[in-house]
Amino acid sequence: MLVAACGPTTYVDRPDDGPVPLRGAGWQGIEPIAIDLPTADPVAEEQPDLPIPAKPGTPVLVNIWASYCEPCKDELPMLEAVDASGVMEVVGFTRDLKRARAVEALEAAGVTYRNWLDPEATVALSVARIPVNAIPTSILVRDGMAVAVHIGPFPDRATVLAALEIR
Amino acid sequence: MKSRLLVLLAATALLVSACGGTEKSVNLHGTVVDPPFTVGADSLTTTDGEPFSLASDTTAPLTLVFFGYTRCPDICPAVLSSITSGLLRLTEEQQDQVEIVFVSSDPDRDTPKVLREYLDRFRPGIIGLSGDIATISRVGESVGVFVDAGEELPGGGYDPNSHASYVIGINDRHEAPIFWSGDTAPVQFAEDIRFLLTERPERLKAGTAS
Repeated sequence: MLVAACGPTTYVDRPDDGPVPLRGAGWQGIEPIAIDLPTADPVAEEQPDLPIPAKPGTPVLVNIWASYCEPCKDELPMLEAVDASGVMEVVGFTRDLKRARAVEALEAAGVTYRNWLDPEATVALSVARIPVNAIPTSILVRDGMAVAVHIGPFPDRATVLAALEIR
Repeated sequence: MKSRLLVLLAATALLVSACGGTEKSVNLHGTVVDPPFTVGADSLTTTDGEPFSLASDTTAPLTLVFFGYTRCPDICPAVLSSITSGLLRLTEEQQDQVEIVFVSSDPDRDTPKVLREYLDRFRPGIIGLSGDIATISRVGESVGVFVDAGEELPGGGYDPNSHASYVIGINDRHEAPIFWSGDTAPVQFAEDIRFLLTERPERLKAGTAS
């Protein structure tokens, strides 16, 4: 960085839209924001190409995780059980750079719900003020709108299901 | 110290360019430190067993330094992932100008082999450094990253060494004029790194937006 240049400058505005949600504070309601989930890169090749949620009207829990994150992996079986119960649809977005790592972790946890690769953290960036590198993080989506976030791992299944009370 | 902290909080940097002394303000995701941190000269050890000092052995136009430990459950690996994912947005030529250094804050557990395997999960070529915790703390403190020794918990668990999750940028003059918070996203690293490599500011000067 020795020579200064005279080229064009990139200006980047910082969003300033409210307080950062706290880790370990349970579900926190946010100003509802339309969320467009990045589904270009499914983890599993045979993943069904259905809308999210597959069944219209179902609340969706979007879980951001990674294979290198132990607390993330610990809660995968619980999220699988919630998804299987049918009260919510769970979808996963992994920050993994390597697909094989994600596949391995999902298989070990017995996860069957849909997952996509999101190494660029697009999901977190699309919802205001989610701490990008604090994972796991989950987002509650109703009718295409993100309405609440949960930063950090879920302590228990009841906390996951508490999302159903949030409108 | 207080005045320096105030400078650290400034979100905007003034770029003093060589273009006839004109200044333009640039919004960076990272925070500019003015004057830059003087990087501690203490020597640490690479995963190959070679001595390495951040104050003299960094050779790239930009070196990104992160303090963490391989057993860190969530934030540290995600920060490393954000750096490496951000680099993939740059050209290969730009990527070659950036070096990543990971300094272990848990030297007892992060043996060279453990550290090497961990770092290779993210990107080949990341320099892994370790040493005794006092030396690591000194180096960290020189760039504003505080590393403390961890402690065993009564239940047999382990409270890992605490460390700040900042990413420090070191230029080719071995100064650290910029740092990023642990909450920086891949695209944000990419934008800042591209700016630093292409504009090559002679000096980053902290200030307020004008």
